[in-house]
Amino acid sequence: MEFVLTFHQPAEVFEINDDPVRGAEPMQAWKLYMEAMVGAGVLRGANRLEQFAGTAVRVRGGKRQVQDGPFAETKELLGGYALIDVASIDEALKWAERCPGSAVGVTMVWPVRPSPAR
Amino acid sequence: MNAAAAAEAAARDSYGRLLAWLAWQWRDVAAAEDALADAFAAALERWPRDGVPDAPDAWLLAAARRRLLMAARRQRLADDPTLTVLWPDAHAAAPEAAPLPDARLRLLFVCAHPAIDAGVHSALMLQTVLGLDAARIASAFLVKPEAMTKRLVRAKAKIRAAGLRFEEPGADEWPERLAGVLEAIYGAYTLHWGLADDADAGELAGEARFLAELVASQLPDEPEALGLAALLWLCEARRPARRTGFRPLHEQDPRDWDSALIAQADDALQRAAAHRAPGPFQLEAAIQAAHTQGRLDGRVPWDGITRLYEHLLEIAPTVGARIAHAVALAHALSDPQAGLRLLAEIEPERVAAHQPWWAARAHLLAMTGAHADAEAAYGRALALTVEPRLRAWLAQRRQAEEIAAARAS
Repeated sequence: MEFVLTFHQPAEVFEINDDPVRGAEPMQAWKLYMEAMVGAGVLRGANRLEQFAGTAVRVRGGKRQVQDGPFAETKELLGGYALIDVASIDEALKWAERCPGSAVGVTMVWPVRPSPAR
Repeated sequence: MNAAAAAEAAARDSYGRLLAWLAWQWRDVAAAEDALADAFAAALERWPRDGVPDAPDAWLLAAARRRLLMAARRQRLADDPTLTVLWPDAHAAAPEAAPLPDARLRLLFVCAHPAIDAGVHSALMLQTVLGLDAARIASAFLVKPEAMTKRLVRAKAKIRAAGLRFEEPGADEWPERLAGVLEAIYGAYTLHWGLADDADAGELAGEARFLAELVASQLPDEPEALGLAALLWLCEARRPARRTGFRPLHEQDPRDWDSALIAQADDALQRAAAHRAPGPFQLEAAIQAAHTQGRLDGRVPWDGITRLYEHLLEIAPTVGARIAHAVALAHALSDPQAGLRLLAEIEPERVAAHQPWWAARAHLLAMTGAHADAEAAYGRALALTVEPRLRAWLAQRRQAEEIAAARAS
């Protein structure tokens, strides 16, 4: 079963992570976490996102609205995601728990809807 | 124990007793739970106004029974509208004689019945006998709250639909059924290792210990029941030593241990051993006792511990026991390679994401002097656990290996 884990963290956490000195330890934890997922054979893909540079596009009544992020409605910013393939939701929750981001922000676990037969 | 803790302990004791009794009489755990919840709610409303009754348990039981009767009448009338409310009622017999017979052991046997999915045994016990709510149980098991609620509801429906008998099992199935109960209690105990929060972890460990003591006190001639209680006592005796941070046993200060609890465990183990019927819990407890005594004597009896693990592997070859055996053997023979070979024999898919395997491998690699490999293995172990004190210790070990590797190159 495939799940997407999305990593949401407060802005100040990203500032710390991007700092070469203060960010050394948390980034090491992220590296070990990703390596553990690779080692366990569950990781299908992952990326970091430019969490301060999101752009929102809406079309309402035929009119375009374009807005620069980060967006006020959430305090926590989406900083990245991972696609994993595991046996069950229980296992996906376990990987979410181990995520270094879960201790400072929140990790969401999204079941991937199986696509129609390919 | 302070007043609040005493009140809580009394409530815990009485909830399980009342529910077990009601569920036993009605053969329906879910209905008994609903009725008891209503009774507790009524008590919260009435007692502050009218005063606490002389026999609170009897009051709660009477209130819950009224609810159950009303629900049953409604159900019967819905099933057959020609029935009058005067149908004879087997359950409306005379009030229970005090003291209430303790039916909790029967309830435990039902919770761990082989007809119910083994994965839900522990959760069902925590909910029915101890009254923990589904959301908290879900957090402890790290599953979706909704999924946990569903599993519990399904298990209770099965108890009712399959008409599982609320009786102690017969002699032919006794050993297997008792093993199921003990395993589920141990499962509940080990849950607390995964909880970072001290209060939550301590509470859950306390709940499981309560169940283990309940079974041991009701079945004082069952060596495995004594073994489980002894095992939990030995683990709990060392809890104070972990408060300041994770320390492997051989680095702990025995002065931090609870010596009364250790003595109690030794006594239970001796009584169990007199039956000459060793089982997994007695062996695990004996291993813990050997480690504990070894620490007190200043010398860990690795030979004896290795033999105990070999015995354990014959009856219960779990991944955890295989890992621990590999480490014990490496120490007994002063041959880390022998331990590493045993670790390598465990199927990779079972240990790729298993923190203890990586920590054991790192420890043995460090013994061989392969510091860079040890550092990598500690790193993997670190990524696989969230327990902050264990993480701190693993990070420290990892750093030590990093330094040793840099020095060697």
